Amino acid sequence: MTARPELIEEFKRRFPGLAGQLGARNVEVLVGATTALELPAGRKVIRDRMPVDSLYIVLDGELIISVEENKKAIRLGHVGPGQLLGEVSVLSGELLASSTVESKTPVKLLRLRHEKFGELIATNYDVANALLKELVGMLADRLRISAKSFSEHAASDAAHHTDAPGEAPANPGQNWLKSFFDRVPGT
Amino acid sequence: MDLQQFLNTLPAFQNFTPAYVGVLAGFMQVGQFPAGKTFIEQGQQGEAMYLLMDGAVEVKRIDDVDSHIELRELRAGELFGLLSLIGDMPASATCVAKEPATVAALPREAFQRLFDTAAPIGHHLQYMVAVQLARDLQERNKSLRVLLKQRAGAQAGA
Repeated sequence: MTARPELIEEFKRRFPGLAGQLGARNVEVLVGATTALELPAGRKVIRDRMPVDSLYIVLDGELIISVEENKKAIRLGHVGPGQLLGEVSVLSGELLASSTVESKTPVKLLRLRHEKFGELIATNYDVANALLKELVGMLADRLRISAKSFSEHAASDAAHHTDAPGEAPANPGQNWLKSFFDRVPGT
Repeated sequence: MDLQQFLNTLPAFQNFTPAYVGVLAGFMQVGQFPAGKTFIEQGQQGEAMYLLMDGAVEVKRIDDVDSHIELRELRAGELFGLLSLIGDMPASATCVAKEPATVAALPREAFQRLFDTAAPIGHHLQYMVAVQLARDLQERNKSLRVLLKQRAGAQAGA
């Protein structure tokens, strides 16, 4: 699908590093594979532990990430323009959300369905590599934030600690990226 | 044991040309270690990713919430310490030689140089890092949910 020129320009402005790595042609390919989405404030884009079918590229607005349990939530941080969402589910292979993402302000997103993402990275080595580098940086940041949040909450709860059962281990499931690396050309 | 030949026997590296695998082998340092050698400690920044060539390594992860201990044993051909390849990222488990072991180490700075000389292997390892990060993030968020459950239980019992 042909990408709208204004979306391409917005993507380049919001993701200068990624756009530079992708190059003009692949920016067009990536943006052309997405659907633009505009949502009002207060909308849950991703719901904790519910199926996720897309990656989201944030072009505008602010979103809040939190973890939910028993109608209570721990806020992990904010996400804004220049960031991606929904990457944990596709990389872990679980295809279930690991947190809730809710729009704090009106937001503008590019939605990339997992099937499209898989197709893209299986056929376009340059897009796969550029996206992967971006994803590793973001995941590392989110893991650091999540670990910090956990330490702070655990410390404040230490005096009231009670035992609780853990949850079932993750099911590796399907992994789109693996198919790409199983067929890297010329290697 | 020749490292390049060993790498060629592993499914993860069989799709790469011998030249690329040779570059990776050149960046790795092979060593022999006694039982009890600690390669990585949970909560500490690791300095290298390791490939177990012979022997056994025990992976021990202590859950932050309930102190549950999760144990796994690695055998020849398995990688560990992937997150050591990125900076400022504490290890999620402790890795100790369970018996005398032959291990090849890829230091973090050598991983960065892989992208210049054997980019496809660098990208492949980066993919594995991304998957590990995603799984660790999911585990971490599960621990946060357990904390919320504990809070709800404590409030109900108060």
